[in-house]
Amino acid sequence: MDRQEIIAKLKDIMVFAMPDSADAINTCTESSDLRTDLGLNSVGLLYIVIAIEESFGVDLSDADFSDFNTVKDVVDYIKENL
Amino acid sequence: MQNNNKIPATSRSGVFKNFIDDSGIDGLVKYDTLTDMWEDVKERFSDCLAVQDNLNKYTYRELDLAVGKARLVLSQNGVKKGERVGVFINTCTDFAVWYLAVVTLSATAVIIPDYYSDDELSWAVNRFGLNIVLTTAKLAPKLDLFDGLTVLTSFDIAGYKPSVKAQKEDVVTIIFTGGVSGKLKGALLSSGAIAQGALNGCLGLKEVFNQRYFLVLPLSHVFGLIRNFLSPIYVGGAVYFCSNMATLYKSIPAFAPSYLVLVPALAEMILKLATRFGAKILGTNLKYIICGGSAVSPEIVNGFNAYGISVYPGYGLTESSNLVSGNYDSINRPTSVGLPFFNQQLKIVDGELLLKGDNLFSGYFDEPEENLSAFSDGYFKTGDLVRVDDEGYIYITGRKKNIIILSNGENVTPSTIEDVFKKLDFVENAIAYEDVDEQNNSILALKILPRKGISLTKEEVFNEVNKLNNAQVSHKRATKIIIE
Repeated sequence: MDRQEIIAKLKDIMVFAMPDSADAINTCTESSDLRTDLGLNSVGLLYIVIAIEESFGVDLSDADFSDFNTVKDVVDYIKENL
Repeated sequence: MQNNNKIPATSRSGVFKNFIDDSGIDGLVKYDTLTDMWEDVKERFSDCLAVQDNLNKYTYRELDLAVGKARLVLSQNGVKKGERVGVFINTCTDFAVWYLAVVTLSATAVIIPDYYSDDELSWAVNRFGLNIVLTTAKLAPKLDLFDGLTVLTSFDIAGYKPSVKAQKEDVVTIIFTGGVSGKLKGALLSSGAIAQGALNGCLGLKEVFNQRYFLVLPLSHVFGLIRNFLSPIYVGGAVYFCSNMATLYKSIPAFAPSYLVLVPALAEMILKLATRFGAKILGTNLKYIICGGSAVSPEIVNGFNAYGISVYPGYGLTESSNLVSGNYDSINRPTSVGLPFFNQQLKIVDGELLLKGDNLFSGYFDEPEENLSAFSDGYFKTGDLVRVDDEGYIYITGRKKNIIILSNGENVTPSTIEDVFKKLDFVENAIAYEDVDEQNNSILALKILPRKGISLTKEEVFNEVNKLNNAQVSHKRATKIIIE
């Protein structure tokens, strides 16, 4: 799975979690900040982590998701652990 | 049994009677102290599972043996009744062992949040004059910076020291809170107050004894410590300590809890996961969700109801040892925080709820001015504005407190956030405030006023502020930043 496919799937996960932020999510780039650009709080991040695990089959139980700041951080982690 | 106080007839005949199984309430005991509670339940439920995490599992008998060892370790290190001991432990069964050991010695457990930074740890150790801190191997290195501090991580010792006779008024726990003023301080909770608070968590429920609870809330908050840990233990329940939230998806189905205790944002997240990936995240045994910390939306109540799970909103404060009221009729009254529990006196002055009762705290640690302003005629001023309907149901209508309550239940004091950003040399002023996102959830927002004449562009200011923002612990990060 390449980065573009990962981002497309990630956007789908995030839009489901925050449908009202669909515009910001659909137009986000890898440098977008998860909190200040996309409005994710700590619980929202947790949702993303669990949803990634379920959607991508990646084990995130050892990841410190407070280290995820941008979309790129998440994509890098998925890419490394796929 | 040391104590055989039955629940007063007033509460048995009240509205709660409709919601409590007779056999349940007949077995409920009002213990005078946490020590009386533990001495009774350890015998009464000795072979039942008490606590579990991903590594350890204890029945009540096994837990008591570990608690007796921990008391021995504490005594050997000079801990006596009334002494303050730091408890800096991540969510795991070690917390249960050490906490019960401290309180059954009638010493005082100063609960330090496990996410605290070095500066915050220094504040806690110095402010409360701690000489001993209990922790785990995982967190112990964070305490290396304190010279002369005794750090204990193990209760693996031969022997058993019995508990010490407790008085109701013995202060056994200090919880950090912003209270009404917003200034961070320690609320003193007595053994009697916590015992009442833990009992309140058991009232009004159809199934009370030997329930299975999943614990994911921070133990440094009363909702986690009292409602999610001590209330289940009060009635022979089993508590699973979830040390890693990212494993919720596997650990909830594996443990199959009958109860979850959640803040609304977590409840909403779990509901979304269930909707998207199927109900397996809920496990096969889940019947009740106790929800509080901030306003619970009807969508959460109705969403879980579709899975046959009842969501019961409640209202509580650190200063009231957690629960003041519980709503067991949430389908019909989704916006109420319910009916008040017994042994409390409530009055409303200028719209503000004032409280007095067995579950109330004993004041703030070494805060004479705060203690004077926190009470009026012996009643604690909650800072919450309420109305009560004809049937006695309470509704929160606003608040006078200088705190921000986020939808994930975190209480944030604006001044502590502002101070972080005011330290940047290009910042003239920083204002933290509550805003709402597009989904109407409360969020933490930050407005920055840069100094005049600085060489940085607006974008560079934003990037620097954002970098510092991302370095904060997750619940203290702003999700909206405005540069003036």
